[in-house]
Amino acid sequence: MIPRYATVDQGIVRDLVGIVGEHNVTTALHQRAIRAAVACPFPIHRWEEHLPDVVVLPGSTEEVSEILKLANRHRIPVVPRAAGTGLNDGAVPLRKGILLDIKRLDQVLELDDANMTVTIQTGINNQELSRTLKRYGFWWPFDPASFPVSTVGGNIGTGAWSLIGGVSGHIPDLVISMTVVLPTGRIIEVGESGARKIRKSSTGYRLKDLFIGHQGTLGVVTEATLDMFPRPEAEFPASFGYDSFEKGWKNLRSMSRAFLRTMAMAALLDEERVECLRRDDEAYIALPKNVKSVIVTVSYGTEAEVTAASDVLFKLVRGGDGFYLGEEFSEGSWAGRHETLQLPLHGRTLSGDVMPSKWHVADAAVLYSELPAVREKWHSLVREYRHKHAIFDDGGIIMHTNNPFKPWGDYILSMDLFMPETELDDVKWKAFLELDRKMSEVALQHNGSITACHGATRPGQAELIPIELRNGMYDMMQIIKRAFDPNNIMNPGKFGLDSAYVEETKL
Amino acid sequence: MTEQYRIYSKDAYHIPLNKGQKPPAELALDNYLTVACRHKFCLEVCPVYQVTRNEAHTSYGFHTSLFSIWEGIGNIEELGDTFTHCLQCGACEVRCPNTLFMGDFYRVTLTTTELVRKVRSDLVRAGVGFPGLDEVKKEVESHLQAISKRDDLMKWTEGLGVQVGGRCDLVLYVSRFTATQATETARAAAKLLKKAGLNFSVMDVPQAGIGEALDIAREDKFLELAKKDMDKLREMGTEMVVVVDPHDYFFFKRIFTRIFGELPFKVVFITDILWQMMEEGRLVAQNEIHKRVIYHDPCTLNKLTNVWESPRKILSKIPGVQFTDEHHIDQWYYCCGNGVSTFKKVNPEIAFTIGQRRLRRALDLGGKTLALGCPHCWDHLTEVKTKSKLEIELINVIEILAQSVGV
Repeated sequence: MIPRYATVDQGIVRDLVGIVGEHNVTTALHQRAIRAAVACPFPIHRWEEHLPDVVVLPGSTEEVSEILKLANRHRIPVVPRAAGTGLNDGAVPLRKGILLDIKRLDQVLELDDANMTVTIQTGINNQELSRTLKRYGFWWPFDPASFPVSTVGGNIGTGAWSLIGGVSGHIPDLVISMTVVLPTGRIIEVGESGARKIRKSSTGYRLKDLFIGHQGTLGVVTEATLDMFPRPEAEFPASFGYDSFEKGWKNLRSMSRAFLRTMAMAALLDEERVECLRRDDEAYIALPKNVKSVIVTVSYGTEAEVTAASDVLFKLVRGGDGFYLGEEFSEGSWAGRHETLQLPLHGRTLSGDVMPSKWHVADAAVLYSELPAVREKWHSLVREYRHKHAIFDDGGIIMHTNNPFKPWGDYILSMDLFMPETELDDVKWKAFLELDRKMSEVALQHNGSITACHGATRPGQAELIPIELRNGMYDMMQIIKRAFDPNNIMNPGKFGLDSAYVEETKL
Repeated sequence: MTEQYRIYSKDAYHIPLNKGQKPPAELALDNYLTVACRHKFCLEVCPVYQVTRNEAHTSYGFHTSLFSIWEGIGNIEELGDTFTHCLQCGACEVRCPNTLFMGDFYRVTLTTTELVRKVRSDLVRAGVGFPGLDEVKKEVESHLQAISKRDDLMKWTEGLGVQVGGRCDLVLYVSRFTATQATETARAAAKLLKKAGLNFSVMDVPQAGIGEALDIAREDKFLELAKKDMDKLREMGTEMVVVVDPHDYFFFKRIFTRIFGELPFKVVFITDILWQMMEEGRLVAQNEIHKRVIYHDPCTLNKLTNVWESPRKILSKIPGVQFTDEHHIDQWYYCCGNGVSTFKKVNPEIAFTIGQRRLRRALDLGGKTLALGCPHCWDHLTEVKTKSKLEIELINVIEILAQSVGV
């Protein structure tokens, strides 16, 4: 049976005020509306349905624990929210309840110079953490597109990916251990082992991974001990042009096989992407007309390593009929990597007019061999829906290295899709979800995964989770969800996990 | 009044918000460009958000609040608390990718500081008000009373031997706050201009300099005072106005120009002209000043009018000064905590925390002296220093220069 939820009444609000203080509880409509909106396309025409009843900003693990105890006791849904930069509606409430905003948990708790770990509260922003570590000569080598605003906690919740994961891994590789408040309010510590700072252990199950990418469905991560790196001596961005997508794609393979340990990222931009860049924005650094495809790379290491590796890289590019795009493009586009994309006026209507839009970013994980086929099918699907519904626009595809520490094998096939939310109605929103689902189905047909890092939490994609995880994994998820969260209070409805409460799943 | 004069740079801002009514569609589109922005760089750069961690207290929050009302969710009666949590420092505007990459191209530069002024005033007009409104009203009244007392306002010029009033190409503009609260800064400015051999006149009782009026629907009073100053400067035959208070500089450069069009004289900030005098050899910093100095960028200069070079150049040329430069873009994230107009009166605790963090940053860098460019920063940080018992000297850059020049 799916549990029935209690209403947040004045008594509950008073109890919450008792836990976190008056200034950290709000029921103002606009405050709740802000917490229902996210950075990706969102059903604005049904905004009201997604409003939480109350917004709470706790300041400690203990306060989070008290809030969850209260919510569990009264059976009130709780949706954790960090910076709201998630790209799959993970933090959008589906059943109202308490919106638990973790951003006041923003302190660095300990910096262990000798063992190179840093322990933080999870509401801390990545750029702020990076600045702090820089002062002590260390590097926080985690670089999602949302780096200047997202929080470590949000990144843990979504299982986030890093642009430079080829040298330093992604969030699952950088988190050593965590403090987690379970739906019942119990505070636990999970890590590679029982020791807070040990990175590799064989003691017991690897439970840490349960709380990475869980999208707030299993509890709230309030603290984390992270791996920090020495600051690299050299950073070298280099971009290369090709006169066709095929040449770029083939050269990507050569780059992977060169086994350059300095290569943090290689990203292949297809023709549609290059055309999108050429559209209008002031950030665009002009490319020669014959450039149809681009590979952006960045390398980190010692000066000697990066210099030697760049010689190999440039030779490979020449051999692949590519050419260096110069310092201005290479350094400029890398320096502006967090800033220049996702502007709200890049979308175009069928007649070519500017269409104020949000960006949907599809992010399937796709094997190298399948990239061209999936790319073709995705563009074709978007063309079909664009002509049918006149609200989508294709911003092109980027294929980023996705394998942690190794720039080969699988890639994020990342398509930018513009969508004007202000024109949404049920028909158009349904069309969007349908398009999103069909794109994910293509990824699955080609032995890929629905999502590399955004999380399949939006209806449409979520329907496909049982299909992708059909060989027992989804059954396990249902069992785990029900065991951890008997009253289904944590971000209920996400991942389709209401099914866990309909009847008990058995293996 | 707001319809007759362009107080705001966007037309939609001139249409007032009313209880029970949807905001205008033009405003909703302007809001949506921030709602739809995936970057949200306006969060972490905001000194208020850094303290409260409440995303409602950011440009994203302000725009999304209004957009939600346009979509039928929310009402203006609840906006007061949210819209008082803004320093109007302009950090979100300079950090915004819409401003950086589309601002000129599409004319969609972020104008949150104007939006905040507009909403506060609309709330007052609609009878809703906001927390701390009475304090802000008192501040405006106090300014109006002060400018009627000429002797008090011009007392700072006593003994300087400078021309006050009358026709002159070059006018030194020292408004009420600096004239009464930061007298040493005003005197240092006059002494240095005199030492450089410049023929100038001190403006006799400037009237403007009260941005709070724009927050409480007293645009009429702001305009009346601004117009008086403009008329007087024209009468004086002014070709160049040298401004000592960065807030006044912001009013001249960003608001007066919008209201009156291109001004009939050049407006220069004091450190810009002093640096020019140093470059021309007309001012020589000769006395050694043994201080370990950090420079604090005032928001009205660094973020709102793009003046950040001259104070650094001056400090770098003063013998004996050990100057550690914090990059001006890093300082987009900082503020003294006072804000450009209303903030401190409404949120004294947050203002204190922001100021305390600023002083600690300077101390962490080994600074013993925090050089300031703004009398409001000096005033607020002095209070913070006293309350927090942090050991750091606070002094205006031009006073350090005056010591080195020997005036």
